[in-house]
Amino acid sequence: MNKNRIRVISLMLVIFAALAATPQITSFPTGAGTNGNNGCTCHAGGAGTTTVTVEGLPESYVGGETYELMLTVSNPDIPGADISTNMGGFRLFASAGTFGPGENSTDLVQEKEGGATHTELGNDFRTWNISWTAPDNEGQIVDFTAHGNAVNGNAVTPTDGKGNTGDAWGSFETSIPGAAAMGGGVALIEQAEPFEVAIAAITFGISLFSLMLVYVFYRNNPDGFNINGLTTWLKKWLTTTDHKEVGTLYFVFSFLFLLIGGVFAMLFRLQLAVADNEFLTQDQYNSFFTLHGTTMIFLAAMPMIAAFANWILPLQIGAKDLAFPRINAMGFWMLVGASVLLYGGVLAGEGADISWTMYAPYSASSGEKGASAGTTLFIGGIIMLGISSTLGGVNFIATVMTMRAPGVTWMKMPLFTWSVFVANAMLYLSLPALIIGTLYLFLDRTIGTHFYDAAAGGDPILWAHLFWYFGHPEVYVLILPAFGIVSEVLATSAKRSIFGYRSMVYAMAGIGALGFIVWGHHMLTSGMDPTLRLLMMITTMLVAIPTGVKIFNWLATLWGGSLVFKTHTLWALGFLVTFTIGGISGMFFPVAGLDVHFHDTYFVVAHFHYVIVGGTIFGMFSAIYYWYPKATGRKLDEKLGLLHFVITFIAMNGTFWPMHQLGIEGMPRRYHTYSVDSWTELNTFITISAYIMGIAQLILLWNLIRSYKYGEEVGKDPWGGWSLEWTTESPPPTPSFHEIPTQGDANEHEHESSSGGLFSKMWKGVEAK
Amino acid sequence: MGPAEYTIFWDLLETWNFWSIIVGVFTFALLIFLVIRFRQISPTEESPDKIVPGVFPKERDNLTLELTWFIVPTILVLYLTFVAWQSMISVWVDPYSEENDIDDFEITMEAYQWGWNFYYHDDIEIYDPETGNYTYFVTPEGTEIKNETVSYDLYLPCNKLIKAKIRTIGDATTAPVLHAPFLPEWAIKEDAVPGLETYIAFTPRETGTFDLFCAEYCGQQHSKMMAKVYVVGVC
Repeated sequence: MNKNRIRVISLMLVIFAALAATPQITSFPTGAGTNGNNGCTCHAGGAGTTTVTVEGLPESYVGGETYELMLTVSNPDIPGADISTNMGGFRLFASAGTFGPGENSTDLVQEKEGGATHTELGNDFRTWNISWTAPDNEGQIVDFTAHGNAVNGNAVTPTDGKGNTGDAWGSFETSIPGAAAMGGGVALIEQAEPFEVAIAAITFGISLFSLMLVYVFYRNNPDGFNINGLTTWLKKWLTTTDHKEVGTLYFVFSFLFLLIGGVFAMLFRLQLAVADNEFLTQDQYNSFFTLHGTTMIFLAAMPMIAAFANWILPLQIGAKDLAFPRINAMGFWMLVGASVLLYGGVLAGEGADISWTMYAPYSASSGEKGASAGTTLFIGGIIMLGISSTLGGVNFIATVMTMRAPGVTWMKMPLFTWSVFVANAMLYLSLPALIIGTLYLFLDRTIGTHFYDAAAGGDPILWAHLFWYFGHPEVYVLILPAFGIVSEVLATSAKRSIFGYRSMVYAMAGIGALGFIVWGHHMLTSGMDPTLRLLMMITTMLVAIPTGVKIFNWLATLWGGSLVFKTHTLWALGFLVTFTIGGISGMFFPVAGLDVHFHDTYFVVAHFHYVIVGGTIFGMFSAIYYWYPKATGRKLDEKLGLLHFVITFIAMNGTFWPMHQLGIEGMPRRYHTYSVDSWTELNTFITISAYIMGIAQLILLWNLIRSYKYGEEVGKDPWGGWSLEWTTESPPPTPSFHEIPTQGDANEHEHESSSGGLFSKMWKGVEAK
Repeated sequence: MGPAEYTIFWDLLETWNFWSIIVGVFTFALLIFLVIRFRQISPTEESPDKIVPGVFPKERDNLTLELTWFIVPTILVLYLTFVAWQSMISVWVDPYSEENDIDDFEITMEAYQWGWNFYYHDDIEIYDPETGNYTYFVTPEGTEIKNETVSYDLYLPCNKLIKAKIRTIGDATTAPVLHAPFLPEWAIKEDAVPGLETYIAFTPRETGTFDLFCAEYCGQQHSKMMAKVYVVGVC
């Protein structure tokens, strides 16, 4: 070992030791104090010699049965016999089932916030009768926690309503399995533990994935198959820095997480299918929708964009690789690490339940009513994602700025490259806000700082500002590459050049600039200053203008062409429909009178799914069918592709269109269940459509696997595209070009003439200076 | 279902739906026309732009067209912004300004994990035709709704401007987090923020029983954080 390595390892050890030794302190303005386990908060006094017992609990419970429990608090130092009033108190919680007062105890015991506690009258006892009704599901284990307080009879202080010193409390914990969990009963199929279903699905997916890896290795060279070669082959993939191979890794990773995120959606759509459903518990529902959102945005959509940017961007600008191949690989492997952190909580049964927006102060809270323990890991994962995306952003920006081949000038760059460039510039400028915000959050959760705690002088709205300063540019980061893909696909399919190339670039840059000053429209109801609300309302409305320019330019591109209906064309046309709907519904939110109703209802859910599924994902699907031949040398099956498109397009609209109506009717989002029966019909319809859409993605998976071996072989340019990636072989060699190509220009002889639109004239004016 | 007919919500929604349909129908009609009219008839058709791999194709643009779809949406957006701006005044009304110092009913909504306390700063008086007297409104639980009482469901008089202050409580048993009272009937919501006092104002014009939801995600029992709103008295 060299000295540097020893230094790094010792530094890490010191940091870990320091982290482990850091006391849990809270830095309130009134001074530091320690956070104890305040079992019973109504009395002062520490944990002492008090014993708490609960009698009457069965060894295993029968679903729906009611049990009579007796809770006793005893303490030899504080005898109860000497005093007749203010003798004790208790709090009893169970992870499932319901509580009520037991035999002859109606005045003494009450149900409160899901647990049982004593009434004011019940203060004068040390023993209480409580009834507990077991949950219907016998397949689970119920955890009981009881806190009991032996009170020495003294009076309640008038100032804070709390008892005097001298009391002592103790606690009691136990777990009771259901009859089915013991193996004695039958767990009904609809009462399957959703956590187990989710984990089984993920484990199954990973096993299938590993099997697939071995199979792909086998098919690589069936004749010379040797299992010992597997490690060498795997090592090649694990250590690769080639932009195409890293792109493939990104793609496989994102597709895997697209399916996992879909499984979460399937589970909570089942929960929402009918009113007052109890399929998922509240905690499960909350962590499932959190993971669905985070997975789909950070682990499915972003990596899929990164996959195509990695694969295609260097080819389009005629570069042999990206500017920093090793940083590129590092960015990918940090993403893998981040995904483990994000999912660590779920696999431990304590999944983060803070939604993808991670709103503080809830996300900074902990304890019984705070965010679950997995949240800390989750926040760590988000910080790592931020670092990974920053590395990717630097890389793409540097590549576009320095590695363009001769002839690929700024205004002769393919639109996909432009879109990735603008998106990564936005990402690079907005990510610091997210990373700072999540670091604050991490410190709040781990070492007791109070960045978001109003009681200690922190600011709860600070998080929303930091998050949406990142979050709104982020949604443009997701949609811009899809714009680029659709521009390429539509022009190629219509056998035309793109209409208004320059205005397309300016529109993209305009969206990129406007994207930074609209974040407040996510916070119109947050108590923000009305002047700021007005400003954000106006800027948000303005985003419609460059977006409209792009849509009409795409339509004009089709004019006079001869459109071929390949699968990627269908996806691009589908994109035009669904993205336009999503864009129009976006115009409803900046309006004060509409937003105060629509904010956090299903109308918002409908809108952003039209934009992200109907925009980003449809764009990505188009890219899969368009560039698959370039990456593998074989076409995807067009018949399966048509089937995949038709089912997904119809089911996607069936899933998200009815949500507009639910939003107008006022159904709030992030609700575990709802009691309004008239919402059931639409919700059932949505759930059925969602399942059809989910299952249809398996067609694509099958198509990807099958066509790798049996697809129709293609040459350099199967679709008739013009950009440089179509001049190299399919699949391209490594490095990607034998020699750096030169991009020609069909406009060269026209540059001196005065033809062309406003944008060409403006540009020429700039160039002349 | 949905907000009451007399709220500004429906006026705005109608305007926005109208323009959405105009823009949507125009765009989709154009799309369908182009896709059908300019589809490939025979595979041998030549591209008018003569696309060659590795060569940046001939640029196409048209100043008049591009300016048209820059300026027309801009005018539409400016018009809609103007309409939206006006709605700000009625939605984010400052209930404590002088012009709103009218016949009102002041309450405080207090949000905690997971429920609501409603404090009253005015009385609901009901006219009793038999005795000819006004008496305080009494809830089914026996609480008289008058100044300084607290209730867990919300009771409101009809035809008065309701001015509600919104705050949170947080102590050792309930974490101080964001909540948001959402009243779908009057299409209004505003966050309850720890350390900040926010407010909403609205006027019920029909008696009945309505929902109040929590709209800002606040933890485990977010979906159970509901209350009923009873509008009582004579309209």
